[in-house]
Amino acid sequence: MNTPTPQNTSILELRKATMSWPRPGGGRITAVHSLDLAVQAADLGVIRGPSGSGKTTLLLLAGGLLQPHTGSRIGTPRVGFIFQTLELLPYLDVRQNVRLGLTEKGGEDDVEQLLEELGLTERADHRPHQLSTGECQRTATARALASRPALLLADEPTGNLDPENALIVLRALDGLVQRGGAVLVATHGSIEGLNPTRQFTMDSGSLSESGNTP
Amino acid sequence: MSISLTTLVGREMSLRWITALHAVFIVAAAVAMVLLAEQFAAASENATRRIQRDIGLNIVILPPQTDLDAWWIDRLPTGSMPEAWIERLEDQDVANRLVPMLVARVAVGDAEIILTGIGSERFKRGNAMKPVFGRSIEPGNVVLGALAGKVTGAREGEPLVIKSRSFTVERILEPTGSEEDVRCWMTLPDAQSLLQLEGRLNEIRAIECHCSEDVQDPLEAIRTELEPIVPGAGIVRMNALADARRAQRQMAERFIEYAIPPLLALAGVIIAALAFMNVRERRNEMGVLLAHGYRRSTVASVVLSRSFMIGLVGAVIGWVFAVVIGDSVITSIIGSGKPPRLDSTLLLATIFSTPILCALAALYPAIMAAMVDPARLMRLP
Repeated sequence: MNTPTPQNTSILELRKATMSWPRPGGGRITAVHSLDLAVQAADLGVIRGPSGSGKTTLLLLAGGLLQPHTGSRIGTPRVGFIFQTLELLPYLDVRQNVRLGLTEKGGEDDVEQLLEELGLTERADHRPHQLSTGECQRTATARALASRPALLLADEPTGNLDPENALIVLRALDGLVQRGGAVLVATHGSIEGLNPTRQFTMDSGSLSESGNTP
Repeated sequence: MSISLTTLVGREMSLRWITALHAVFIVAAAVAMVLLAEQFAAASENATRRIQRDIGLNIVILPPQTDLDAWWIDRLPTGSMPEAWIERLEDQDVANRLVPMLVARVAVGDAEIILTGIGSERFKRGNAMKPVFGRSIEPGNVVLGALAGKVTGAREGEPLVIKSRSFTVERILEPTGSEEDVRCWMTLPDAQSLLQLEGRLNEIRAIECHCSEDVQDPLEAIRTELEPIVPGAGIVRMNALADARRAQRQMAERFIEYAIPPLLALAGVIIAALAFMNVRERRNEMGVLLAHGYRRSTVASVVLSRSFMIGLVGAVIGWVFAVVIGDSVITSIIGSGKPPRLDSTLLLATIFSTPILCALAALYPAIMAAMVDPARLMRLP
């Protein structure tokens, strides 16, 4: 697949981004507070933090699905998503679900290559209800990669996966990074087999970078 | 878009086929009911025309010499009037339809029948209207009432000699239990020739006279209108039952007129509700499409296309249903003859308009789908 963007280039920045949600009893809960983040090409970042710490809100802001109440989002990279709940369309088969990631016509060869890379060729004509959890996760990963994203946002991409399936998914994410794409992974624990270049911690809406891994 | 709209909509409908089928059946039922109502209205109108014709019609205009007491007894006019009167009568506002006749009692062998020459139907002021007397009789042919056929021993397709002249029996009618059973119908020129009364009539049936609604003495009003045109003619009104039938028909037409719009509105509301529920069920799918960069208009068109397809399939099924069962249902309701065929323009209009109406019914759900916040997907547990 083609390299989306050159390396060492900032493809997205969040500057002093703040986001809050309405509180059921009145008032608001601040999910992300004055957050700064610069994502560069070929970054493989992991954002760790407990549930409710603001990881998902950060991914939404980074993906442009939310606009910060204050602060700004700079850059409009092509974004791919791997949702925690996968959200495969139940009436489409694996191949069609992956093709759904193509927002333009063409790219059929890329789809077939992705199916092969993620070990889904044999299951390409199956529907989601005929797949295992691992196969569904791999399909969602292939769909996110099909759009040739410059930035891939993954929410718990290996949650509930056995080591073998987790490895296939992580290898695919690593492949994107090798081609110059950036990946941000949100998780509440650790991900075996992932070698991030950057590590973040989210705590009560604040983001801190704990160090780079070469 | 890498996956066609048809694939997305078709696959979704095949997965959730029960809900799709419900919607299709609702559309089909609505379409069939509209088509059947239209066909029923047309059939009812025709049936009423036949009833009005068969009971003796609204007004009978008789020659001036006719003794009305005698006419009421044997229903045979005495004397005759010029055929040209029928043309003069076209220029009046009482009766919509005029039928010239020459009626006489004649002997055929040992039997007696009522020979009835019937001319072409004329319409008020030359208006174009649908004739009520059904198919015309060919010159040289006769159509016999059931009893007339029996007493003369006639058979269809065979000759029948009347006053030394041979006619072909075109048809022998089913019994009606009325004086029509003893009639022998032929063309007016044949009857005039047979009775040696060329250019003469002795009865004009005036149908659909309409002055009885707000006039105290309708017969007097009709006489006043017609007297200057046909001076001295006997005018007999026989339309009490016909009026009742017409009123009944008009009531049925009004019912259909008022019933169809709410029916269509109800179908529209149900389609909209089903589309609404479908969209609610599929908010995550819409979110996935939006998150992957699909335009909001594309997401809306997924919902609209689904409703359009339901409308199209439903219209075709409803159309087939109406065509297949329409004849038998309406015949069992009206109870006479084959109902008129469904108007092809109406059929085409239904096929084209139903999908569009269904898509319009799904407009709000489509907008709702387009406004789905894709961010909700990541907030799911």
